[in-house]
Amino acid sequence: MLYSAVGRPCGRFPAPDAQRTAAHDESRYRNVNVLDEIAQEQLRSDLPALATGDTVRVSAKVVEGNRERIQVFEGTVMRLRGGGITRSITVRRIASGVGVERTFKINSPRIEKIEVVRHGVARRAQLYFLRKRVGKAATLRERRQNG
Amino acid sequence: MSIGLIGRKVGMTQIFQADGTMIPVTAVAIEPNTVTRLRTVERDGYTAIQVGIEPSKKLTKPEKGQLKDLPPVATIREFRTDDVDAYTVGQKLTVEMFAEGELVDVTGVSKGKGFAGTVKRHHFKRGPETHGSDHHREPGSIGPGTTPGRVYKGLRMSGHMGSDRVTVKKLTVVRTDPERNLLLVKGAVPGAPNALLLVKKA
Repeated sequence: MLYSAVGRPCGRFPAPDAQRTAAHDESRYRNVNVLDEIAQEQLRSDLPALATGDTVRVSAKVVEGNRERIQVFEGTVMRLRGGGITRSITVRRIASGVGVERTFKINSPRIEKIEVVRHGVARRAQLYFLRKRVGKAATLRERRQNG
Repeated sequence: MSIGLIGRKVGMTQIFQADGTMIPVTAVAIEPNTVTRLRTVERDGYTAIQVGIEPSKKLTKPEKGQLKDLPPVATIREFRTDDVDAYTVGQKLTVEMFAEGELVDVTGVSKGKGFAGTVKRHHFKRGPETHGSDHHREPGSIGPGTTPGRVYKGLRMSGHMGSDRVTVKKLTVVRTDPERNLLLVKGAVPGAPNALLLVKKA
């Protein structure tokens, strides 16, 4: 007998009540929304639209000793993971002959800015095939604007 | 002994710290608690404050009498404290009494698991799934044979699990939000969303 399913009051959502104030009602019903609000507040609005295959320049703050500086990491977005506050990107580049992948939580306050340098054509969501490629084979065609 | 407040669990989320680390937090909705009564040594033999939350219209006459001139509250709990004089009946206690970075103890009733086997309840090792084994989640031997001819007391076995009163101690207050009457504490607290919680200074 699921009373809640047929609109009968159950413990979690008590029936409206004359003595309840509007603010109180809101507090009982908002429960899940407030978590969304907390997450929403932490999202950044200054980020560009990112897609796998894009070449991006990520400026991240790093602490060296007791000095803070900005480190720039440029490479191809190999994958996008997560949604909302947990959204992250994995950026791959070849640094002095060695493949380097770095993952950034893009909503992190440690990210100064993200710039899209170039849009690449990617026909899949995760570009793991880039790991097996070197040199020119590891580059992606530039995405043309439909116009 | 410090006093606490009554709240309800909202759920868990994540918060970014300034250093870029992400920490898991539980949101606890703490509406302003009304001090409904002060317990004194002369009258009651002990000192405590009694606080209540959540308006109710289903109070019995005796309950209404107890709450004369006070808002009709559905949920009432007591917190033992030595300095009762610092509080007055009718006073509202809000989430602002907790400071960020402070440690709190959170008490609640854990989620009920029903009749649980030894694997879930006591973390026993399970038996093999295959190779002819029927000993999947069995408890195994429960003791010697004819001597002593009985099972020792206190032996861990299957039984009811969960729905216990659990206190999680020393959780850090990550944020207080007086506007939304919210308290964010680091880590998990007992119970399902909307469960009643008692939050005390550690």
